[in-house]
Amino acid sequence: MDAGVLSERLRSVLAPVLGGDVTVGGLERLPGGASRETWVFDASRPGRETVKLVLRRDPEGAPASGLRLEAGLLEAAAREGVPVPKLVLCGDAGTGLGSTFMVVEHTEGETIPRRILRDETLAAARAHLAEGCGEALAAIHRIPVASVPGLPSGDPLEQLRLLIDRLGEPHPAFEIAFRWLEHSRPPSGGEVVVHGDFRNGNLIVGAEGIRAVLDWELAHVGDPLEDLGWLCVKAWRFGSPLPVGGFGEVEQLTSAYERAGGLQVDHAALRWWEVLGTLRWGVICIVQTLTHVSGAVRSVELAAIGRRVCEVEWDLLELLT
Amino acid sequence: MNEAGLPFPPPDAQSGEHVSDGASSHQASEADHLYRPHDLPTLTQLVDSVRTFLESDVLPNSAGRTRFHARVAVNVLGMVLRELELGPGQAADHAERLSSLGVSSEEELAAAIRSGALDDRVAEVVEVVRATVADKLAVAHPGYTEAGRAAPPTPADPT
Repeated sequence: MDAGVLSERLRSVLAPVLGGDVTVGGLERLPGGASRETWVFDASRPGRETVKLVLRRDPEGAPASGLRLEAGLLEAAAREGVPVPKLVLCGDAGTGLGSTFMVVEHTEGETIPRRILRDETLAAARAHLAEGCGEALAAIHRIPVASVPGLPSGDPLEQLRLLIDRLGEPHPAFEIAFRWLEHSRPPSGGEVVVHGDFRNGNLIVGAEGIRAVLDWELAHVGDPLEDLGWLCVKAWRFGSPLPVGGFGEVEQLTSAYERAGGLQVDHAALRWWEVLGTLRWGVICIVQTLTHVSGAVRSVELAAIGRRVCEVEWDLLELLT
Repeated sequence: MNEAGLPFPPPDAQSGEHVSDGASSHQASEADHLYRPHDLPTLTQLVDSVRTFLESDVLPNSAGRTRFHARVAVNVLGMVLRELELGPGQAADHAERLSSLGVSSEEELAAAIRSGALDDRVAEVVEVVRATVADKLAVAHPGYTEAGRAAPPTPADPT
């Protein structure tokens, strides 16, 4: 479907929501995203301000992904006060765009981690970003599990074990981490809606702080500390010495999380989840580089990521020994 | 032409088959990754020429995704050069470290840690694994192991 046809179809699916006199212009596909397309466009109506919207959709002919579930998550998150892009519409292949899709309002702001960590105009926001993350995570963890039916669950340590065994690339440092994780497991912090990829890189940041939490693809039901531990993984610091996303201290994150109604954070348990997150990032590096090595997706970026596994091995040894 | 009518100098004028004339400014040997019968440039010099091209011609004249990938590619070729230089020595050291623990591969070491077979030698195991990971980092990301300061950025950082 070319941009002209897609514009016309978008116009007709948006008409019932935005009014019959809506027009669609400036449709442009954003680079990246082999498994999911992202388009931006303007929706205009006579006498009203033009709004910039974002279309995310599955490639035509591909099996439906979790986009509908994500749309439900965005609405549930908004109800709890999580900053998220505002959902305009979602639909399945029969709705008129040829595949499952969702349309959200475009959120202005910065998403590129290095700029979030270095941009002068974001200096004030940066100083309180860890607190903002604590507040957003407390709100995410308040989402009633029953309000988002269909979220996956399961033991993340067991899932990681199965995944790495399937990859056939054993690493002694990873086994040291597995042994430690198996023997030091903290008591469960409860079962909540976990974002699953809450980190520097999946946040839209403006001068006043977090404007939107993106990429809900990995959301599931699990332990709330999983999200906090993942945010502290060294890979998301992008060279900065600050442990929380490269912009803050652990104390800023946990005290804001607690003040906003999140559970009391046991720091030993948080460390366990940071180790698990670090190990998970190491396994993801292997998965990504194998998509290049196998020939499924050829890319120098994916090739290079395989040689980052040793950074993660080093991080694990530093955390554990 | 010599006495035999061939366009070669007499045999005593040649020092041997290998290019090892100390006076030559293009001296190269297997240590520089020149595997005869191949000609100069050596492997190292070839890779370096591509890296320099990417760095000084492609990077300043590209933007967006191409520029990002060019930067990753420069970094990757840096890794290749370091592995060419350090790889053989590291492989020998690695084999020696593994045999000190009674195993012969990373797979065997991973399995022994997993099964608990090396639980009574934890300190030694950690020392071996740390040395191996440090070697890998010396190729993949020099400076990463330096404590007390942030590691230099990797162009391949996820964004």
